[in-house]
Amino acid sequence: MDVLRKLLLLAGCLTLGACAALSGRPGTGTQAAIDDEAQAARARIGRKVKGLIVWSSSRAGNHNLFTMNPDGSHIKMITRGETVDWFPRFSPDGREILFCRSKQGWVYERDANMNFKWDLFTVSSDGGEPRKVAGDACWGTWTGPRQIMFSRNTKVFTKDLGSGQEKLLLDSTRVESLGGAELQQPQLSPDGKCLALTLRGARRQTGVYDLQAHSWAHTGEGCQVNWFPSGGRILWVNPSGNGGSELFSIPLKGCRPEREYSYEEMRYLDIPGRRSHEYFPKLSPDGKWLVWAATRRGHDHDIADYEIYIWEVGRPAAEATRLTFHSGNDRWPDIFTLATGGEHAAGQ
Amino acid sequence: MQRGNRATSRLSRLPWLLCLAVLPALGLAALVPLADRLLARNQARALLEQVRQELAEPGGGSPAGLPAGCRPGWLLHLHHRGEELASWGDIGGCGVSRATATAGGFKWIGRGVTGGLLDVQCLATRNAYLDGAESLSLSTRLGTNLGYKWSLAATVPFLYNHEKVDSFGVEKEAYLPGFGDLSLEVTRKLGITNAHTLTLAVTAPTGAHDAVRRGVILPQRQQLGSGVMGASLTYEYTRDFDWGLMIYGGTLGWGGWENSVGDFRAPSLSGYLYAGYLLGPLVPSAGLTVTGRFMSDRERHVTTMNAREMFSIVPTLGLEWSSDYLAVMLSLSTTLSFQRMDSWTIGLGLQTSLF
Repeated sequence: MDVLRKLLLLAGCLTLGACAALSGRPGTGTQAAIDDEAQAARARIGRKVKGLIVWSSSRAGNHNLFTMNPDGSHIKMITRGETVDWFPRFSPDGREILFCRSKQGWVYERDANMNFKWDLFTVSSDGGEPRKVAGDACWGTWTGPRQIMFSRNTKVFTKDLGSGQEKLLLDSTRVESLGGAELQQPQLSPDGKCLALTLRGARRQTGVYDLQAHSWAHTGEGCQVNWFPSGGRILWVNPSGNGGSELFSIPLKGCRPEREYSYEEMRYLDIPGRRSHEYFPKLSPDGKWLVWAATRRGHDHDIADYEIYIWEVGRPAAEATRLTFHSGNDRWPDIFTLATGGEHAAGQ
Repeated sequence: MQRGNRATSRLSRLPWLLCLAVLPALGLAALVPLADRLLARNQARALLEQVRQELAEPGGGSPAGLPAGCRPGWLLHLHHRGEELASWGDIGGCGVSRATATAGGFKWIGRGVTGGLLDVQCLATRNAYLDGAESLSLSTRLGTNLGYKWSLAATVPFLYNHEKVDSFGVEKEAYLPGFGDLSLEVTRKLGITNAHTLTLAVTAPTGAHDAVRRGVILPQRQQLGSGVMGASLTYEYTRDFDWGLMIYGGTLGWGGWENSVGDFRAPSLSGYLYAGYLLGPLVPSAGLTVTGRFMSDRERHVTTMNAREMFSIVPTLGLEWSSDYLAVMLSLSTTLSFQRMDSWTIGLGLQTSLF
């Protein structure tokens, strides 16, 4: 009995000690083989859409930005170094990419709202030297050709990249309905009147803030709210469905849902199969394509083996096409699409 | 000879010393969120101080030339709101925490391991009573999901019990190894985010309840099973948070009728809550379970509990580490009944998801 007791204690201490000693960083992973069926599906996508996808990947160490064609071909690494580069967003003309970069080495995405750990940079879509555009900021998106929006913990700012002027758009500590929550991934509606947000910290909700009426509409739980380009609809990630997550979508009138929607009404996309833990959805500027990442195991945004997917909006979910086949972490894709026959600055 | 006895005595104290070392370690782990918060606050203050000094320098950083977010008014505001700047960094998406039941009373707080067709949990525990009796157990829980809303699980415990028994006036050591009562449970997830669960568990009397050692029937607590069917109904609410109170729940337990040797386990009602902090792959946690019984247990037809023992509190400390394929948990708990510690338990859990 004594021996068993000692063994149990020793095993416990050793196991936890070994686990604690292991780093929580993602591995660089390895490239997997792409079967014929997947190749054919990717080729079909390539015939339908031209453009560029950017995403953040750990395949070269701490996360860097990579681009590829919408069919998964021509993968190119466009940022380098030991910092964590993530949340890339194409400029309206597709020539620049706004992204969030850690100030120093590895930082968990869990710390994204600790704005003092991050800066915002832009880089040309075909690579080059990144340029810092905002300090102590994260969750940057474009709101115009030379204007960006970003979050600093409980505040959302806009910044004119030409003049360098920043403007406070929303401060959750001054809005009772937001209760001082951290404002994550702010997304301005196409008409500029509504701000979609994921609240964290003091509140944990998704919803839309009416910038004119100064009111908050709680649209659901989950996270990562996106606008459809038409502005009359949002989609977000909800922790339900196959694989533990799926995409929800509801129409809005102004900045509010017209009524309450049932679970079935809100379900938008939940791909079949084992790799169905969907996150990081982003619609193309024309609203015809959706990209996201999904994992088969694990949830951590910056560690688990997420793979990038593309889907033609409105087609059956089973037609979603997997673009990446790499055991590293691939997350936060964005897609810039061209009209057929167009030409992109990044080169195809 | 005396030296040998001293050495043996020191050796026998080793597990206790180890546990004494583990306890403060777990306590320290539980303080990590506080330390993290203080660190973040200090960093924010240092940053503010730096900006303030730059503003104070002649010709350095006129308010008009600064970005709107760095104007003095903003700084003053930040100064007064220093607490809110000390962010916990509670981000990581939705669906981050999802507790699962575990045999042995310990609870997984972190993400655990998901994605396979068969979820496997193993939990080794050592339960020591203050009067010297002890029980080692190895419970294996196999679970699977049936669609998005239902799940099934079976738990098979293997026990190794030890107690000194009075054998015809002589105190003797009695050991009893074997399988305990098999438990089957079905869980229904409720709500749009599956944050609520309702679990019905049924226990089958597969473990010996009338085992004899050294010529005597062992006391109820040292038997491997109850000898009768039992059932419990558990409601649980998981808050999708990265830190703080994450799990609330309650269990209505029915220990079954009196068994063939006159033992009876009284119906009980438990309430529990667990707090945790998701620090990347590590999750320190603390929990509290309060249990009340509607009547007294009986042993060989005799009431064995006094009023104070019908109400117990079980504080638990845990530390988890998880990857996509394996999760490990070390937990420690003690059972207190009205100003007295009855027993303590240490557990080591492993979790994986196969196929």
